[in-house]
Amino acid sequence: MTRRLFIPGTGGCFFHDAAGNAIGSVLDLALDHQSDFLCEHDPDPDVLAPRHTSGRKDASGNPIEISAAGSIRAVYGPFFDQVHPLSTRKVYMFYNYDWRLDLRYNGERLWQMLQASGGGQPWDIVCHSQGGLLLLWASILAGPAQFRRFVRRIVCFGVGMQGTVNAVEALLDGTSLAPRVAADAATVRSWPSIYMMMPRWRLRIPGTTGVEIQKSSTWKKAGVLAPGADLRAGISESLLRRAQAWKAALDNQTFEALSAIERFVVVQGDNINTWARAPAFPRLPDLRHRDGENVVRGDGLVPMDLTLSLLPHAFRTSLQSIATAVPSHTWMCSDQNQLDLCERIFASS
Amino acid sequence: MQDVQALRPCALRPCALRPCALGALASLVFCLATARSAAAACVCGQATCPEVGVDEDNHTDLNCARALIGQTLPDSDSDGIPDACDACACAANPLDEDTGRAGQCPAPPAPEPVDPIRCIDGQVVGIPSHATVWLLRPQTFAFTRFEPDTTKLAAGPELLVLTTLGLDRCTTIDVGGKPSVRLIPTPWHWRAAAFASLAFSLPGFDLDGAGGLSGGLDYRFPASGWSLGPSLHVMTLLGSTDPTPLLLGLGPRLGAFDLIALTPFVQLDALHDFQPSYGVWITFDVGALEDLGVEVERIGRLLN
Repeated sequence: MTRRLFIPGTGGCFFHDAAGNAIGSVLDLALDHQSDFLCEHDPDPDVLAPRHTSGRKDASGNPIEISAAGSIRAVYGPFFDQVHPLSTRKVYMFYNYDWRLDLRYNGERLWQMLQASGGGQPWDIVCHSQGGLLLLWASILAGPAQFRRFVRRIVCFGVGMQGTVNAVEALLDGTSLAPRVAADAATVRSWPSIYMMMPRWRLRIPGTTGVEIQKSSTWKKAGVLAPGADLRAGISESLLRRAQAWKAALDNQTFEALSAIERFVVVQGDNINTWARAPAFPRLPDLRHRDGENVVRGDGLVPMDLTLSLLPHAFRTSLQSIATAVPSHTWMCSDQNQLDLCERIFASS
Repeated sequence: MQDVQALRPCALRPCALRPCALGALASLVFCLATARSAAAACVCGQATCPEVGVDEDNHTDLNCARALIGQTLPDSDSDGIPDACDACACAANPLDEDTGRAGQCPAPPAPEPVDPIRCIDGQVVGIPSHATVWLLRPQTFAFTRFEPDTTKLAAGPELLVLTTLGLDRCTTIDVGGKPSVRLIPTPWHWRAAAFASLAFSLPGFDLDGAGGLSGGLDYRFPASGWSLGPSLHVMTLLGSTDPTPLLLGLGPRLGAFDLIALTPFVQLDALHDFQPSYGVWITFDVGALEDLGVEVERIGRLLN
């Protein structure tokens, strides 16, 4: 008997404060409560837990901390309401996490949750976007034998295993999570997860033969490295070090644990032009102007071929890859067809 | 951040939320269908097994998750290490904490090989061709009979079953140097639903029960969240409505992103000279209001 878990992606959860009051819904971002979403982390990249999870303060000036309270139904609707012929066995649980924090922190928490759930009933897991990166990290912490105890099958939708140029754009210009729902650049620059999702491939930008975008010299040369703590002036050097640590940790991985489970399926969108290079830096052109050699096929955020081709050979041959047309990276799990596909994969053995 | 104690099945969370807005009937049906036991089970198939408490040392020495500290958990092999932290929960290995897990216990068996997902002659093999999906969700509808005092507003749960019509098509393509299946899902699906609702008459607020069956076809537009297709229903009203009708209806159903579907319909009363009426079904996921920061639970408390 297996259980089912859904791990949402970036922006996939909203937040509550300790008293349970809703804070940080997409409506708050739409109403420009940007400071509610500011994070603060230790300069030491090995300290994974955040110092503060919100810029909000109470009447006494004490910081208010916020935490993930639930997943966004709008983009994961088909997975929310499923029942299995009036049984409760196949209902998807959602792993709610603060998608702004260090990927290693959330991945470690995920592994702890899997352990705490017991190994008698392994999980079938569906993950979207950043959720898959947490699973990568959990599998590294677990190792093949332990991971296999707790996880049976995985279906990943649009997981940027090599990162995405859109993360660079988000750090430079802010990001739009939905129409009229945008996070300012200064807000995004306090989120370590975005730094860690920058491309792990050598990014081609004009005037270079390819750079490691995680290197602070790249940003310093472009004049977009914050001289102090003011993230309105540029990106954070200390959070950039977290991106370097993440890249270094993954570059040496063979993902043996993911190869050891019964089935690991990667589903990627292939119908939307997606950045593979940075056509300008530090300014990036508007998304509507993607064209030419700078874009490849993908889901608008994850470049399809690049993501697979840069994986270790053994891992690449062990996974199963499916390409399909999607509405967009954000909305790919809102399609009933994807729930159908997961049910078929989980019913197949 | 939530801990494991805060992790709940998604379907459980709305139990306190939706029904407040949709009525006690929805609450009962929805929560009965989704309730589950929180008790941990012995992992090796026994009905009972010893239990051990998890303390700080277990966290340090056995790598037990911090979230487990303070809990009493099953220990299937009676080696003093709770199953949740035991490298080999079904064979005693009390040295687990000192000598490393891998050497003390055989690794779990390797999974049985499964057929790879492939595309052969345009058909997907390696997974079943169809999946049947069951959903339980709220819906509302309204209709009038072209006569005074015949307007009804209703809300309640809908149990929905969906499956595909026809087979997916596919091709084999190269993705990053790896042969991959390019999947073209079949656009046609059929659905059938049973619903039970509380219906209010306007004006007057007389209360009826409404129940029935609906079904239809959906065409899902590729790479979009939109669907369109014909929908049929048969429905009756029990309570203040006299004489009791048997309503047969038909209309087009337009759905968007699994969040909302609108079905304008016309219907005829098969028991009373095929008297016509018209209305609209609205299937709406009220839980999505939480995405916008609207606390459905709080609204429900206000309504109560």
